[in-house]
Amino acid sequence: MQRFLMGQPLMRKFLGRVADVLTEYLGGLSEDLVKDNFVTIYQLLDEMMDNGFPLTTEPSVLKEMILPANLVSRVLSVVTGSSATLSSTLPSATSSSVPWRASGIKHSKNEIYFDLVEEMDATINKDGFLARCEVYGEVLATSRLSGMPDVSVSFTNPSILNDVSFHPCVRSQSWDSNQKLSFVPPDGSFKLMSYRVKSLKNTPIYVRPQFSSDGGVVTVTVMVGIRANVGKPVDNITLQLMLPPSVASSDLTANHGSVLPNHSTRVTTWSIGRIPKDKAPCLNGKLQLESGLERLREYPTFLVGFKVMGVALSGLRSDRVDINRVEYSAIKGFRAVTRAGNYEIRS
Amino acid sequence: MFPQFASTAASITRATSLMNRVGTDAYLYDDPEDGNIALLLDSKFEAEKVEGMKRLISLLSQGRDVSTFFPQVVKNVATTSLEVKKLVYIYLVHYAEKRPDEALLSINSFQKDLSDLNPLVRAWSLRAMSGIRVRVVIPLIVMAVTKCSRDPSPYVRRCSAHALPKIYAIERDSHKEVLEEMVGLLLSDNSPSVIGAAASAFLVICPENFSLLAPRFRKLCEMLPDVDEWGQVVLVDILMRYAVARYDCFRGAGYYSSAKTQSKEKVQEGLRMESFDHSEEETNVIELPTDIRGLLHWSTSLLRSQNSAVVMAVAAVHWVFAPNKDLKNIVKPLLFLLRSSYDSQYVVLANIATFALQVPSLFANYFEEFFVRSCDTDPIRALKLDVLTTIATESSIHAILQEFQAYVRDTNRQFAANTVSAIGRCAVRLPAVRSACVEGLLMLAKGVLVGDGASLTKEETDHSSSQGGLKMSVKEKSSQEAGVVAQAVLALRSIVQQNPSEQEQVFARLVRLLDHMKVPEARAVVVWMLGEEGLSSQRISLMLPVVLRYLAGSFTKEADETKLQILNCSAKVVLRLEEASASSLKETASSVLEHTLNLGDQDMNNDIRDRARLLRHLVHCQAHPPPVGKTRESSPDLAHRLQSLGVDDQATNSASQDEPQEKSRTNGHVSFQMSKAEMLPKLAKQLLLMPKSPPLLPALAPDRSSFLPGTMSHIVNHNAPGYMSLPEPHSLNVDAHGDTRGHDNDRTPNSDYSGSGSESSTEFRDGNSYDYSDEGGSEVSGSEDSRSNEERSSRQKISVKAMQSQRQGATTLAPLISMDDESAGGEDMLSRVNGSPDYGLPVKSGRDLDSWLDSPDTEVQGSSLADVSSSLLGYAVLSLGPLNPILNKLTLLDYTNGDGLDVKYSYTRAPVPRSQDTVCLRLYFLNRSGDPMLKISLKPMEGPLPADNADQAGTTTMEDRLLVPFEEIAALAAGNTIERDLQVVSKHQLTPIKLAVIVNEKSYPVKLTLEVGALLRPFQMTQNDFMAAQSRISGMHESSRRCVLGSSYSQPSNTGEDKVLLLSRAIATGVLRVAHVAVVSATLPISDATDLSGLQLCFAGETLTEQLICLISTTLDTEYVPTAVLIKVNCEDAVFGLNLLKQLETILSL
Repeated sequence: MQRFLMGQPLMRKFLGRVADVLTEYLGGLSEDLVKDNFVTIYQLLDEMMDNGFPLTTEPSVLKEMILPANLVSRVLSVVTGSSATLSSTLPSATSSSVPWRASGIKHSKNEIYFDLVEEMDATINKDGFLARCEVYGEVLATSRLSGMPDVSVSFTNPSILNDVSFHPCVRSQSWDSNQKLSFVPPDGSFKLMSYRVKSLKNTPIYVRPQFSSDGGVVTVTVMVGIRANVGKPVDNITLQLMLPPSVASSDLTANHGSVLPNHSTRVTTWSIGRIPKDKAPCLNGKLQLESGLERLREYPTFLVGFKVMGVALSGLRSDRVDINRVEYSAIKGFRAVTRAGNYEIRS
Repeated sequence: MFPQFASTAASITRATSLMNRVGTDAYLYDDPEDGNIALLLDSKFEAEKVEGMKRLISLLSQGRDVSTFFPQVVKNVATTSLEVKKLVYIYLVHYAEKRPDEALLSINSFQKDLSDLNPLVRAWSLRAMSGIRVRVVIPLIVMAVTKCSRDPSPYVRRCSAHALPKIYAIERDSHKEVLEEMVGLLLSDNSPSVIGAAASAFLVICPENFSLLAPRFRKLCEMLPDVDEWGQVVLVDILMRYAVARYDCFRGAGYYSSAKTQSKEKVQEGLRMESFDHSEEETNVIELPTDIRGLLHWSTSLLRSQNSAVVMAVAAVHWVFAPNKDLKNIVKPLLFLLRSSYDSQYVVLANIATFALQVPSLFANYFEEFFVRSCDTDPIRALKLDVLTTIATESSIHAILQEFQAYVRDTNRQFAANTVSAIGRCAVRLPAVRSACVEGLLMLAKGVLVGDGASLTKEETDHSSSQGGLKMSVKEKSSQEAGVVAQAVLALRSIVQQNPSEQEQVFARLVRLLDHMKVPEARAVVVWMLGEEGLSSQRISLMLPVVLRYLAGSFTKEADETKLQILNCSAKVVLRLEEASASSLKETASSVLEHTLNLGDQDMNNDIRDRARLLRHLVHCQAHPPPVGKTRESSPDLAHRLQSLGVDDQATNSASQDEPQEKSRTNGHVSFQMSKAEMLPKLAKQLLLMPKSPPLLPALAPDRSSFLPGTMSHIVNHNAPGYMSLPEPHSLNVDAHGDTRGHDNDRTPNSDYSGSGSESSTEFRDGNSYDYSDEGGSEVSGSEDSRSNEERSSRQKISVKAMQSQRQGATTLAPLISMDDESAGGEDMLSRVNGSPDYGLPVKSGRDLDSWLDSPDTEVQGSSLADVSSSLLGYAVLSLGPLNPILNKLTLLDYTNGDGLDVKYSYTRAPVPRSQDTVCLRLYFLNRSGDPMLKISLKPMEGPLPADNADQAGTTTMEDRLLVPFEEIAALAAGNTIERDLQVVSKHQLTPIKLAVIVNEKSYPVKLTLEVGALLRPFQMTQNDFMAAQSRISGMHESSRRCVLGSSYSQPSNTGEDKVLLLSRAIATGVLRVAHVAVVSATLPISDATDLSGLQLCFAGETLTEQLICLISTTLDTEYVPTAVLIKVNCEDAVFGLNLLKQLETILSL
């Protein structure tokens, strides 16, 4: 519309936001869902941009203007015979100083939950040397609080955070002065902050691949095990390896879990699950090289997946959550989960 | 859970009408025409209206044309139901442009809604009203927006800000003044949500009108954190532009260099050095202006935004302004973006690459961030490698090289090859690791060793491990390795060539490896090196006889490219040894040359045969001059063959750039002096032994530094439509005292920005910190300024108004023509980008009538295009070749009036990169008096001229029209001439610009009258487009005149050149002298080759200010003697066209 006047990052980000909002409204994003809710989508898009420039993009405000179609409203529309999906008044948030939150929100049960979702990125060289290891985390909050609460969250060890970025509701000065998150939360789910913790030393699991070539056949052995006890069981362990182009065929078996080769993408996935107590999982097998090749030249990189419930591997701990400026006391909760992000082992 | 419910519900829908609305709107989408839509729309129940509208919109979204329902829908505009209203608005906005007459019916209810109590209704009606693109109602929309921009609800004000660009898109000019005023009003709004929208309106409507921002700058900076994220992006951008225009940019870098593309590298180098100087010596001395510090301070907190667009925009601001020590603020947020938003990873990385290229130290400590992950795509990997090579330092290089080792083993072999090249670049940059890198590279170059290399390998590995460098185990050969090996050899070559004497040993080892190398590309490079450097090194020249004999022996088995290099190499060696005394080497070389030449003669490949014959002539003739007859015989096509020598350095594709020029020069020699056989030896040396600058290993990704970081153009690395480069530094002269006074009376600036830097407070209090630059600072001081500033701004206002009225006058003449602004804008932009001053027309090789016969194929193609092109059939197209119109020097100040100072000027016709409506002039100052003259300067006339001060009041002030302040000439000695460039804003005015030439403190008033033709710029179009445009711009916009062709054009041709071409070239040159246009075509009806009648030349240009197309055509008429010419000018600005026609008539009848 505005002839590329908006920079490239802005356009990308805005499209992403549109997709997010639609997903939230429709509970997914697929052709059928779009068709089924085309009127809502038209109304949403009309509200989200004007003349090609973003207008209202805050999901909670949008929800006040255009009511999400849910079962209740549909049944209601059947009963009353009117199908108003549009609110007839302008959300007060559009003119207040906290445009992300409407005034006069009421919940029968006041609660706020925080989810620490962390992803561990690590690169381990072929000699077992940890080239890098860091955690990227997000604090996802779900707030159902009445009134205009002022929430503050503090961590026991905020100094470990290497980079942070905040939801617009977070007051920057408060973080600068005492490393506390202080904010008036939007209603519903939102991404409160994202952060990164660098230069970590401990990885939860190890992978030891070995290759030996002889006369066009490569013998592969891969051992997987727990390296350091993180306090909670490590779940959903998977191992992916992409076969180098010079490999003609592969025959890999494991003593635990299942091995699934995919011939079109050349990716072999070994699903281990949880590491058994009695034995060390091991992948064995042979790779047949293309004719004319004696030895393996390019070595594959293993991608590891895992999940640890209840533990933030970065070591970030919440200290306390305070809710001010309201009369009631609310339920507060913290959860943590760590997944493998880009956890790769070179061979 | 809903879909299931919906599907079950859908099956029940048919049965009961009550259940009809249960579930989603799916049934409306699947079967929109199930009900009678017209009936539904006319229903008196809201619910049925809603259903009708939903059905319509569902049809609309499926691509059906439902505009026939327009009347029924318009009736529903007056509804009170919001839901119906909203749907009606969606429909209206979609179809109003198609049915403007019926859309007018809705205006009334829009206006009623504008006074509704509900702000939502007001906002919606404003949005819908401004969204219907109907020209007639624009004045009403403007009124509505004016009203809404003072609405109590911020949401409505925000929508009114959004409406401004919509109006601007339909009616560009007539309401510009009002629009700008409203942008100003909305920019001073107190609600942050309005500011963002106002900023985007500013960017669309008046991106250059920084005087709007001046009084609000501080306030806008402070509001930055509260504005919504999308608004932040735009607001940061316009604040940055303002600050650049007002002060200067610290790190503008690329924009200057893009202006001077020729010496781009050097300029950048210079700038880079400059910025380093700034950082190291002057950071403590230079104070940033308060405004800039404020902008930096308030934007810093945005670096923690979750929106990557915001972070990028703020990073760009810091990049432009922040001194080096503060620049580190952007480093970590940028690096965090790489992880936190994968979708924009490439964009962020490309920007980081640009930053790192200019200030490598910025990212030096964070090299680990750029290590490649297995999930990275190829372009990202290439960028990361580039960044790593630029930021590597002595301390980090070992870790980086270790990482590179892992990459070389990667399954992506292209990536491995790129890594090898990166290793080479690291080695060239950092001498400390050179030897370690060389070892590693040698191992890789040898990668093709078969089996027996074991002993060698061991020795090498020991060697390298002792230096703590690369360890790469040798593997057996693989066809995919070729790229890696070739890269390794290329990297080694550039290392050796950077420092030939030091790396002699490496060279020797490389030569020794020759026998093991199997990759033709790599072999060719080594052979090329032998020819170039072989003799300059003692050690290699000892090896040369053996190597040459080896090469001669293996010649037949080599690949083609290696064969060519062997031929070149032996020829070079022979030529170099020419003066040396007889030695075994010389003998060997000439016998090897003889042998390979013989082999080459018999080769299967004709390139090699040609090369062999060429070299035989070049090299041999000096040793044993060949029979003269033979030379003669070969001479005609020799020039052609010489060109094939361009292949010479194909293996060294990155070799010196000056070579081609040199060659073309020698080509010239060839054609003139071919007959002399003694020229050949000289030529041979020039051709083969040209000194070449050491090659550089190219970076993997393009250098994007000529564009502003964070923009679309930066990513695609060409000028994308809508790209605006930063404004000219200091182009805005506003006094800071007067403008920001209102805001900071209650706080001292010190407390404001205490966090932003470590400057001492005393320095900061210093009032002079406003004057960042040295120019302009001297004249601005104290309270006297604020007064003069007010004066100036009021004067500016007057001038703007004057201009506006003039423009209106111009455009009202052309209401019939509606150019599609959107598409035309894009095209202009493109044609402007590559707007090099070439005068149209594909240059065809043929120069005579015969070549016409095969040319009309283009017209035959075009004949399918309606009637316009059919008239082209039966015409021959002439190609005029490059034309060089000589532009007259015109007198600005005669020496009789100027006490001996003679000032002339001519139009340079250079494209002005920044400003569209600027004319470039070159002034020639000649001192014809006996005494030297001092302090010559050119200033706009101060105050009205005594003679005609009455008319003066309304016209533009002269300062506005001089773009760049005139650089004073300190002294001009007697008889000397000095040239100065001058840029004048045309404003599409033919009124003279009043200037004063000041010499020895005496002022001479002069008038500069811009020619009509200078207010044009060439516009490229095809002939068919030309015809179409001409028939469109007809009627009162077309003016034509018949005149007798001047005698100077019809001079008999004495040369062999044909008459038609000569004449058309003469006419074209004449037209080009008058007007700055592009040649579109030259055609002659194919009737009788001797008859010139009907010879038609077409030219096209567009006006600088308003970009109106201006077409010129001349048609020759020989029916009567003397020959007459019909000149036709089509231009939407009729007055302009007439003026141009007059000028053309004058020049063609000369």
